[in-house]
Amino acid sequence: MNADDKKSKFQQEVKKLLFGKKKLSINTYSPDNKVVLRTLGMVEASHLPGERPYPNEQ
Amino acid sequence: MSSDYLGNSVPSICSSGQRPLLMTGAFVQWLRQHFIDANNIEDPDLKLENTSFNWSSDLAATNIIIESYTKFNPLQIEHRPALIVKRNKLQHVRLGIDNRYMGGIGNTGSKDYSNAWAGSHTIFVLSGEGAECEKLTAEVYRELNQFAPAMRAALDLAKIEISEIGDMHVLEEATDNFVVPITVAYSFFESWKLTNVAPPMRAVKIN
Repeated sequence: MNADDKKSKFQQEVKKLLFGKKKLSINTYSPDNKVVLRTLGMVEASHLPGERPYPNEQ
Repeated sequence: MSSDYLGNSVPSICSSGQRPLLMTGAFVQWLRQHFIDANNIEDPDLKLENTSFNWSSDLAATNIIIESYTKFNPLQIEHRPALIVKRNKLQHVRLGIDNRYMGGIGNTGSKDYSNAWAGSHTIFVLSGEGAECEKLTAEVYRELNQFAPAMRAALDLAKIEISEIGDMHVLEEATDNFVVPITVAYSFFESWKLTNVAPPMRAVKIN
């Protein structure tokens, strides 16, 4: 193992220590929908203001 | 030029609306146009000539990969930084009962409808170095944040804003890379008209 390989391995170990359990997958990532709606000034509502809620929501 | 976006053009929004693929293509193109010229780059370290942050349409030669999620190939990235664009949920937003414009039916029996859509795209900033990843993140979110009003007009959106810049993680698909997700939220309206072939009441019989 040359010096560069050793350095690279060391950096990998440091990365593992710092972020080992904190991985992010592009495949499964999904932002918090409430944060998205709040940014747009919208709220997650299943009925319009003033409209009676559906029976199963009461 | 195989990496270029070949879908609907932006002016087709007039006839076909803000379709998911077009929105993804718009974000990819927006970022490519920023990174194609060093003069566009704000960060003095990223701006230096012959640094690895200029985008080129030649996939083999480009120093930064800017692609949509469906073209993302961790092996292709190798040691290069990358910006990967992915669409998230597109949510229906109700504006009125049954999406209808209230106030009755028109003279021809046609009915008008309208609703809004709320969606977001996430730009994943990937880099092998933590500091490089943070610098690229700043370059990307400042570009998106500051030019959002211009893109809102070009894409005929009701609103477009950065919703969240996530914290830094190691990328699960390629653990040599750091990743920061930048989520951009947007909303737009969809309006349409339904016209009956014949009026609902053609005649009234009085005996």
